[in-house]
Amino acid sequence: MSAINLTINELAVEVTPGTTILQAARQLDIDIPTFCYDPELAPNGACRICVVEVENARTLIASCVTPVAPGMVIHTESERVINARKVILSLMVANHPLVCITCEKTGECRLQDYCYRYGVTDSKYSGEVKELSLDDTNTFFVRDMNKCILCGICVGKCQEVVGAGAIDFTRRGFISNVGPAFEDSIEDSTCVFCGLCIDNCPVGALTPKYSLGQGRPWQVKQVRAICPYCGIGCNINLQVKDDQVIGVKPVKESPVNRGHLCVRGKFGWDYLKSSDRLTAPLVKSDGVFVEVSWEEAFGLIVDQIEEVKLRCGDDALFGLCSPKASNEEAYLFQKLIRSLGSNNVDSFTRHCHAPAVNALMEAFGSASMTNSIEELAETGAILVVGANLAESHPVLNYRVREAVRRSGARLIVAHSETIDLVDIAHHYLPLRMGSAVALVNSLANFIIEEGLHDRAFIDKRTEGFEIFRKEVSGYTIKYAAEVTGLAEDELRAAARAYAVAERAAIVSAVDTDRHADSANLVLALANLALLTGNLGREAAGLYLPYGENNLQGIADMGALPGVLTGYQSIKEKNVREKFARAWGVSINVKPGFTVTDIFKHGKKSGIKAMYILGENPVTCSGEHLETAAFLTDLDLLVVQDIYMTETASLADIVLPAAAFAEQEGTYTNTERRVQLSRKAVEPPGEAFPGWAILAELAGWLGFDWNYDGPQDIFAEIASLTHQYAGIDYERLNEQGLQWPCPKGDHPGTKFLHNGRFSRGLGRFSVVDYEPQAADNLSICCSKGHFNCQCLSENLSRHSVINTLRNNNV
Amino acid sequence: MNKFIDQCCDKCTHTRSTPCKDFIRCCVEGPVCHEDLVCSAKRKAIIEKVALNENFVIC
Amino acid sequence: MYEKHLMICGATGCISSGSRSVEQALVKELENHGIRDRYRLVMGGCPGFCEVGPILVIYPDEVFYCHLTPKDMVELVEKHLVGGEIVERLLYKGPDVAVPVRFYDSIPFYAKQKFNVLHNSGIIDPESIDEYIMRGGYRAFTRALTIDSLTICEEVKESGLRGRGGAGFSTGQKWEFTNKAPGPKKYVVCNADEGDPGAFMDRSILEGDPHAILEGMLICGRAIGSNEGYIYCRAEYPLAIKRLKIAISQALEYGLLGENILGYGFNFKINIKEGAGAFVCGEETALLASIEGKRGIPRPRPPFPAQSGLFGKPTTINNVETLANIPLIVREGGAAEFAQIGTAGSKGTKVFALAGKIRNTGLCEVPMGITFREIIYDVGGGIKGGREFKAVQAGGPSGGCIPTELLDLPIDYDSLNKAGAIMGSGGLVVMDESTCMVDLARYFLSFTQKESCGKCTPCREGTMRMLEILNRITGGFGNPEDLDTLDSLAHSIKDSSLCGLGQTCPNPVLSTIRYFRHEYEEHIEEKYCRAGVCKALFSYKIDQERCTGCRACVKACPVDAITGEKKEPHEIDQGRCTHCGSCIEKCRQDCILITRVGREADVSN
Repeated sequence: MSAINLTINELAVEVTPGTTILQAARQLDIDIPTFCYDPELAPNGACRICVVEVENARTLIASCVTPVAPGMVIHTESERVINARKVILSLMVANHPLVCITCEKTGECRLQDYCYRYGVTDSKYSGEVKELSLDDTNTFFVRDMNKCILCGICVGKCQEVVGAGAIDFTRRGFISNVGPAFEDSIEDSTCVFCGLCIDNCPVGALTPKYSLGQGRPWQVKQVRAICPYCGIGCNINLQVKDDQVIGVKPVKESPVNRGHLCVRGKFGWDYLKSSDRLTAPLVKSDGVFVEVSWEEAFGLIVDQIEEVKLRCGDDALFGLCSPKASNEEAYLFQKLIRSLGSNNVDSFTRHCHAPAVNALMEAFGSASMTNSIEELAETGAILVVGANLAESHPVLNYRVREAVRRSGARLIVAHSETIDLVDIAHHYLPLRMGSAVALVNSLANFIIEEGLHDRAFIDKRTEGFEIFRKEVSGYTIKYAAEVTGLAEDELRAAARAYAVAERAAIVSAVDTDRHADSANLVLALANLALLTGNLGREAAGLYLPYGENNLQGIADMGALPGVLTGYQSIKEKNVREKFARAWGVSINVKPGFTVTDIFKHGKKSGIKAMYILGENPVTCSGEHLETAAFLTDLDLLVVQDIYMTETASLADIVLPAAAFAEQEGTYTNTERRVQLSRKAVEPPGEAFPGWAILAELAGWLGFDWNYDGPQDIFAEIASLTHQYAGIDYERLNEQGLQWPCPKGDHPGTKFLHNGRFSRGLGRFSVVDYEPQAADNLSICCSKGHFNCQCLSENLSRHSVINTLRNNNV
Repeated sequence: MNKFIDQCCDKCTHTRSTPCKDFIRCCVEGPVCHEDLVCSAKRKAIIEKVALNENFVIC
Repeated sequence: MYEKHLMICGATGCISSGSRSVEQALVKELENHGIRDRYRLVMGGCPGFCEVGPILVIYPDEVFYCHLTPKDMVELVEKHLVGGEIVERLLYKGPDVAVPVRFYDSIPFYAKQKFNVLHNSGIIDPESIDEYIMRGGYRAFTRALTIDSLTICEEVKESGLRGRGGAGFSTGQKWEFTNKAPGPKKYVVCNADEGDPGAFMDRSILEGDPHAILEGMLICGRAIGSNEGYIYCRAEYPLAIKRLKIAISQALEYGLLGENILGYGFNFKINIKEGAGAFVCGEETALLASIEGKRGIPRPRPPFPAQSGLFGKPTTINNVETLANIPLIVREGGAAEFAQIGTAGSKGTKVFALAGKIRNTGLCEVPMGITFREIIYDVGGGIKGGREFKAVQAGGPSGGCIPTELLDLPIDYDSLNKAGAIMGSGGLVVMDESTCMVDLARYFLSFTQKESCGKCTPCREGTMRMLEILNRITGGFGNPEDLDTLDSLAHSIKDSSLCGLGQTCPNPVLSTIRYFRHEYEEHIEEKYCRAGVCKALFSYKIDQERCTGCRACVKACPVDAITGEKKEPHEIDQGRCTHCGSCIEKCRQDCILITRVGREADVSN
């Protein structure tokens, strides 16, 4: 396709066919005003402010929707254009309450800016104006539709990007208005409070309630951080004024979330200011907590640990790390535990994720997500099995919708319930609960029978195919139809849709059918991806997004009983020696206890002391009463957290920690992207950043750590961890880096298994469908927004977003 | 034969599922596929019933 | 065989003047005489001359009876049908003929007309496919099945046919674009959403000759490579929809729709989609959105429908009248014949709806290039009531007015555009001195303002603001700046709106300002409406010198505002007068004047 040459404001420019006049102008840094234009929405052309003069055209032309033609001569600021823009602005202003003085948007309002630019001081068109009442009914934001200029961006985001479809244009003509169906209140609509409408409204029609009266835009400092909720790790700008966080806005430039958020990221930050925050170290005395100084607290901990070690041995101490801890915290935590002589460090993610992790290790040699978040929007087919992304990872759900909407991807949804994606799915497979393995196996078998598998890939990059092929041949479509309750034709159509796509992705939840079956399902899905060659290349892959924000990170940091950072096995002598040299302590060769060992066996495990970092086993472990009893019985229980959780209330010593916005640190999201979260405000009272607490405690325990700060800690991590070796805080400045990043000039790794799998060849596994008895199927955490994120509850409980949770059960 | 779609005799093959290429011309000028004064008269009768005057039919 | 064929008009105009009861009376009368079987009675399509309806034409003689009432049927049956004698009093009479006219083709109204698309209207039973075939129907389509698709496009191009919906784009060219667009699935869409107030050209074709549309769509399908079409018909035309459905089922029965049509391997299916009362759905992209089940709101172009239209597929959208011309063009030699009528730039004929202060209201089909003077005076019979022509509004709410000085303008696309008007769908509203041009502009604007879809700023907000200014002006609160404000606002709305509605709705305003600026100025500066329409801007005043004191107006006034003794000049109490105009209607001396509020007489009514 040959390039097109045209002239804008007497400047020549060359562009590719299909480029709009607006895009061409932007290439020349010519600024054409826009209201209703948004690059990720369908062309609108409604506001008309972007009109330009094109020679020989009858009328002015809307530049945002008109593709360039060869030889076009365009004037973007001719008299005719400026007149039209002035009239349009005057017309808008005539029907817009001029309350700039107190409007929250003043200073960043596009209507204001353009009126300033074109000298529109007031409007000579006086007449009927909108007199709509404020929609103030919901907890999160206020809608003043009198200020609305009907650009339609909020409608576009809600319907196209998010798919909630809560609002649309109602009525028509002069009395058009944007709102929910039947003019219901937002609260009664399908609004998910993701905040996209608020973040993209060019005027002040939509305002978060938390912002009201908090500060003018120019008084607010923006501090870039990473959302602490889920494994997507959306980039946010904390709005800071007077050393307080007063709001959150998404970061548009981040490839992770590209200006998108969900209700948690947008509104769930207020827990930072909860009056329940821990502000001083606490020691339990006669069953009651007493505030003490840090010195006292540390002194006590040191004494008790040394006492337990002496009496019961190194193995009696266990460290439980939260998947919400930053990389630096997690690293120091496991370093501390290991320096104290055992490998007893683990996290609860084992419960939900271990089956999947093990399965992926078996199949690929790496349990990390094979491809990146943004690639999902570019794939040719998506098979969603048992995942409800709208609740667990909304921003990833937006990518699925984008793939269907903009890349024409075929969507296959296999889910026992009706989830939102069913509305746009090309194939919906409402399979019987528990039958997913049979389904996936039958798809694989059908693909092989039809010859749609990628033979070249299988030959070159995999092993175990022949056995797999033989074993899976029993999963005929007929059999699968019986087991799953689906129609045979639909199974065949779904299989074809996945297999014939040039690139296809699979999305599933780590814990779909929480049971032994979950590992089998992951293996079966891995087989499917291997079968069709959808691994090791762009915009394909297997997506099992992790629940908690730093689940990936703490595993990378070695908060696991059998490995050190970067999954280096403690069994390897040279690994132990490397760390021994770096840390100045010897590393125990014996693998530590797992959480399963400990919490299953309780007292019998031999653990007498526990240090819990930000975790809440009393509510998250599943066996609440036994866990509480076990923890109460310990000789020493130290809990480091930001709230007095159920677990903390059982502790002997409670240490107040800083929340994510109150400390600098890195977090690694589910696509292996290490991202830097900056410190925005001071922690309350005497709370300290987690890494500082651990470093100080280490000093008290006699270890010579000497860190200047998190950057320093990270440098040490990088020096010991192959995957992180090329990363440092400076390189993390803008977009983060995806490991493996072995060298300082390595750009990071977008997708894994390129050329070779982590284990060499991809491995086919034989997995069989095991019919589950109904009562064995406990659906993990299908509790609305907090799917598989037990710990997120710890945050959301103290946040206004908890009100939604109660509505959603 | 009351309407043009009714076959004039069993030589006529035009139906919806077995169409004849000359159907339209045949309605007014036919029969086309065979010669038959009776068939021709049947068509004329249909026309005469509704033709307002001699300018009515357009060929 | 029938002795005679009695074609009664069953279309819009005549139905509203009572042709149904005329028909019932006729049937009853025939039955009374026991001669019902000898006569064929058809409630047919529109013969065009709505002013003189209800109309009955008796064939084969072509005797034209008009202004009929049910009572007339007694005499008509007895005298004409039984007795064989023409009933003179029921014939057409008028100032344009010396004696009552007997036959259809001698009526002056029809003299300059040429029936192309209306050639079947009123002649055939619209519910008979056989009659359509007898009149040459489906021949063009049969021919189209045998020639190459691009050749069909070429022939339509050569004929010079331009879109009759108003835009005037070359139909053949549009078909060629769609033909060349890639993709296996394409659509033909017929825009039957005739939305202009008072327009009923398309309605008459749909009700009177529905197969012409089907044939036009079939030929289009063949030409562009489509096998499916939609007719988007406004729901306010239930009879048209009924007739279309009948026609479609007949075509299916005859094998003219469906699969392997006439054995040429061509498939075509036609769906009917009813509108839901939105003028904006006459705009093609809004129409497509409506068919797709979405809100009827225009979309930005490009992409144009020829590339990406209905359901994203290449689509040709044509107006009813455009499609009705197609069979005439595509039949053997039709393109050349078509091109012989009209002007260099505008070929063929156009159907116009004559309305307003004209003597002969109704539908007429005339060759392009006819002048306004001819159509108003020769076809239209001139101004009613002996008044003076003031202007004619061409193109409805999107059009402009043509004043006296432009009466000799030929009616074709390009001349009209230059004069600030548009051909539009063919509505012509004729005005005399009792029409206020400011109020006319206000009337059209109030229509388009209500019908604005609300998507784009200039139309949504701008039409309201223009209307508010016009309301103020006609209400007596105009300001001197208003004309300039109206002018610049109108130009900006035209220049920056998204679709044709916004781009053309300021036309009536701009056009009336251009040719009748003095009326606006009188309204604003002198608070005077010389036409006596804007109630706040005039008074009725009885000319004391000419009044004969007949008391006719006193009796007519509903609010007792007029006083006066017999044979004494009467007087109107301005405080009570509501400007209803009843007195003017009754005054035999023509002595009630329209004056400025509170001032002396200036212009008489």
